[in-house]
Amino acid sequence: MIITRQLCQRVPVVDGQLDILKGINLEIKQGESVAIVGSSGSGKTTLLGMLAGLDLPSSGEILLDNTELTQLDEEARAKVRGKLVSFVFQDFQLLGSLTALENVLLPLEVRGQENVEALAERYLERVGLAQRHHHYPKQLSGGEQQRVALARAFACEAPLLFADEPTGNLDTATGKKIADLLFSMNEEAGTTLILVTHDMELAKRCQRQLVMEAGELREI
Amino acid sequence: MQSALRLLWRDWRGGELTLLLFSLILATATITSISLFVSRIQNSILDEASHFLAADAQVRGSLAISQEWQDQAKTRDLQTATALGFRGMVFSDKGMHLGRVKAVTDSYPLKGEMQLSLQPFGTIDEIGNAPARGEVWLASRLFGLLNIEPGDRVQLGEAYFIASRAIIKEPDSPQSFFGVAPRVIMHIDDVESTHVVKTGSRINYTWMLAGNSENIEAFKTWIEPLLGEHHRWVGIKEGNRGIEGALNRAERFLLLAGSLCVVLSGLAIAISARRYADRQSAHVALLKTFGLRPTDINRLYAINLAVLGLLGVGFGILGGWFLHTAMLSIVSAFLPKALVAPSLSSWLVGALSCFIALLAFAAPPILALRQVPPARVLRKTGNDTLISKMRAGTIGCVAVLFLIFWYSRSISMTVILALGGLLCLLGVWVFAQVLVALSRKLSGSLNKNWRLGLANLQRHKQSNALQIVIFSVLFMLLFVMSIVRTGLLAQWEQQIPEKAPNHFAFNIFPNEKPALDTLLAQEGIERQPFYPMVRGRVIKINDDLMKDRRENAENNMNYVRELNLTWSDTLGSDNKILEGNWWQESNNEELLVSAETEYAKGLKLQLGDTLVFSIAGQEVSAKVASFRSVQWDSMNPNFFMIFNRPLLDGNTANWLTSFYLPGDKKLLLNQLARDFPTISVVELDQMLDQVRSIIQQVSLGIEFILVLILSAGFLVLITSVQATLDTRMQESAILRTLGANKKLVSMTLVIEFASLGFLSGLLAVIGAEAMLYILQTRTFELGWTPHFILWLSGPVIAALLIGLIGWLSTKKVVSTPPLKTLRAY
Repeated sequence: MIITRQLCQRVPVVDGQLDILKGINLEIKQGESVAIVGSSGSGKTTLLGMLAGLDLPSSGEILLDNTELTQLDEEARAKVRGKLVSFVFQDFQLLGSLTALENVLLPLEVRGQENVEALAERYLERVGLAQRHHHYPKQLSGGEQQRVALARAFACEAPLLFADEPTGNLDTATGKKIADLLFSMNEEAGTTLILVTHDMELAKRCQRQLVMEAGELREI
Repeated sequence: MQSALRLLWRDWRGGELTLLLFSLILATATITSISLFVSRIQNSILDEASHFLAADAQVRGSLAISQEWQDQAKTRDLQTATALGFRGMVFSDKGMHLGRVKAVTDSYPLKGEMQLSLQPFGTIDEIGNAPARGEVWLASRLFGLLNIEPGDRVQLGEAYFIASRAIIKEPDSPQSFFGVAPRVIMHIDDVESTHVVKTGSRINYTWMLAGNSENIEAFKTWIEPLLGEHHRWVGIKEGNRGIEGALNRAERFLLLAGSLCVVLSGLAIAISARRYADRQSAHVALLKTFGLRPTDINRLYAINLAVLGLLGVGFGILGGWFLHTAMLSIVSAFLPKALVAPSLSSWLVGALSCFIALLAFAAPPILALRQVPPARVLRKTGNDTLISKMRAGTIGCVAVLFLIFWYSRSISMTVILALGGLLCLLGVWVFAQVLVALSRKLSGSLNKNWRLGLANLQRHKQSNALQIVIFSVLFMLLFVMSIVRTGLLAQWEQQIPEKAPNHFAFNIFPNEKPALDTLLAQEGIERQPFYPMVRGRVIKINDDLMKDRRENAENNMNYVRELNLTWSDTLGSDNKILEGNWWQESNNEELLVSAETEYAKGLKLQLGDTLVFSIAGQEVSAKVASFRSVQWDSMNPNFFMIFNRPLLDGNTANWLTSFYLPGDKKLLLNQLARDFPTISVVELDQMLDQVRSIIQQVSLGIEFILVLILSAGFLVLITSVQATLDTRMQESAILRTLGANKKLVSMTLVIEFASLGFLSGLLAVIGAEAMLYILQTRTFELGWTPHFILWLSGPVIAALLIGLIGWLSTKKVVSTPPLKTLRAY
């Protein structure tokens, strides 16, 4: 599903260049769940952004479902994302001016799908927010907001789910509930999951664990 | 399209678009209301001014109007009237006098009123058009000169007429002060019976035209190339020297006001659009992760902009209409009863300005959203500046210049505003940086509130410097407007003081001067000095015949007519030497002449040219010693040609004076006419009243427009403060979590804003003074003196205002619980 070859990311700094990613080689198969762990600033979020086609590396190749992302411009990469990818973010990334239901509907509408309201409602029910369809993010707790984000991610029914510290902004108990929900929904959908976290407990729930250290990736 | 509209609706519902849409609506409404108001006032003023011509325009000439022209006028939906002017002796049983006859068609006058009385100098008894056949209407004083009463018989040429009415006011009464014999008005169909008009007689044809301004303009364009040397076009302004200056300056002021309004609205739109774009960038990054392509983003926001534009224009025009109606209703007491409809173009001005402002100010930051990197969802990079300030500024400036030019149609005003603006921006930017840094140094010795406030100022150096630029430009424009307005109003008041001379007496022989003096003194009437006057015409310029120069003249001045010539040692206060020198008494040997500059320009006269005049059958040569500008609307006697010493033997001249005659002493004119039958008197009191009323209307218009501009300015201030609210909310929340109480946070913000205001005010005063110097000396010819009060009050006013607006706008910052704020960011 995802293959990277010699993936490097360099950024200019005051006294030269900083290597954020140093020749990453990685292969993730369809349906796998993979956790990328590492300390803050180790480059794991940068890697996630590249794997998802949000950013381009300085050098190397990324094959996403056999499509070489580094050869594509932003237009084409957006198309690939629209077809293959969904996200869950640490800070939820819900739009404040949209209700819970509208937030779930948004990616579906963007992808041009029609009559999707029932689908969105079903996913909101699945995450336990059947009664909160018309609530705005500011009327929901952090845990509830992340549930909406999960509903939004799975409603897309994309084969790849990228989760960036999905429990990072939540207390332990709520974080655990969200993680349970994430993994159970992932199992139901058979999605390939790439999870970035610094929480080892959460990482252990994935089939594979990779650790990112000083720009290099290795299996645990 | 559907998803774009859905997005727009959700943004609107979330309040994201309120400020931008409000700015657009207000911009359109303000510009539309100003342009509607100006158009209606201007059209009404022109309509009133058209009364001076008894028409919207005239074609004057020495030949009759051809059938082809008449047909054209008819097809262009213009009303017409014709007046034939000639001189003729009017006889009664007891006397005779030369009359200035005007024979008119039934449709005369097309504009204004012909006011008649049953008694000479009596009250207005009747409003008339043309006399019935067999009747004539006479100037009041002609009754005295002919020793007749209304209803008596007079003879003109070979025909007899009943002198049925006295003329109280004739709309197109002569504004030329000289050579005016008393008026006789008759029906045009009676002319033939008098046998006065024969081939070769000296007759003036005046063809009057009235209709809507577009048709008049179109007709003017059509006819001008056909006029030839025998006819000339006289529009409202050309026909109204007395109000030309006032009208021109008012027009320039209104254009300046409109242009500034465009600038202010542009600023408001630019600020709110940038804020909208900043807030949308997170949204766009998210949409991109969903698979939306940059082209989709562009399309989405282009549709948004189009819908916003349509809404802005629709509501703006509606608002503009209501606003202008409200303005009109407030000034209705001073306006003519039936206001003339606004021109079509005034509707379009607001709409087009809105779209252009949207494209130039709102589109660049909003359409730049396509560049938001999708990775922004993972790493918040703050407010990404997707379009550089320089680039946005350049696009904005070009648009503003285009709008100002399009609005004012004046290259000079556009260039002055552009140069002034550019210099000020540059200066302001440098000063702002220096002042912000200085304020930080000063803060060391201050208390906690001030220290924190000034530290804020320093911390937001970049954005504050930008705000100082915006505030200073804004205050600069407001100061400029207020001062130009005050100057204009004062100048107009000065132009026609309360007791300005409103009657001119001429044809005074030297031996009549003492008796006239005594009569006026008895009645307590103060007169102006006596001026000598002879009539003559230029026949040669160096070796060129006048005829040849005249044919190549570059202006439409009437070079055929006789000139009134005078001589004087002193230059009138309303005359200014532009080239050459005014003579000293010592160089009295050579005959020198000073020519009015416009007259001279048309004939391409040079200093040192020799002009040969024909005066009373004799040729007189004089050397051109200077060119003068003349303020024709000063209502003082003024001359195209002034000599340095008496012409001929000095005795051929008759004399001229002017005096103020109050309304209750009008009957003195009867006595004047009886005691001095050869003296001619021109009554200008009606015309002066009319000019005063026009000036009053224009002044009121200007007051209201200033209020509107101030409102637009406040909108920009509020928008600009609002634009920084997000950052301030966050910072205040942090301060409060660190233990600062509400009062401290509130005081800090007020101090920061007031300091910003003070610095902006100071810079604005500097910029305003520079701009005022250019505008007052070049555009408005008002003269310039330093504005000390502005230097003292400007910074204080700005500090108070910005402090107040800052405090009001940031109340929310203090009242929102810090946790809520921090959660939201």
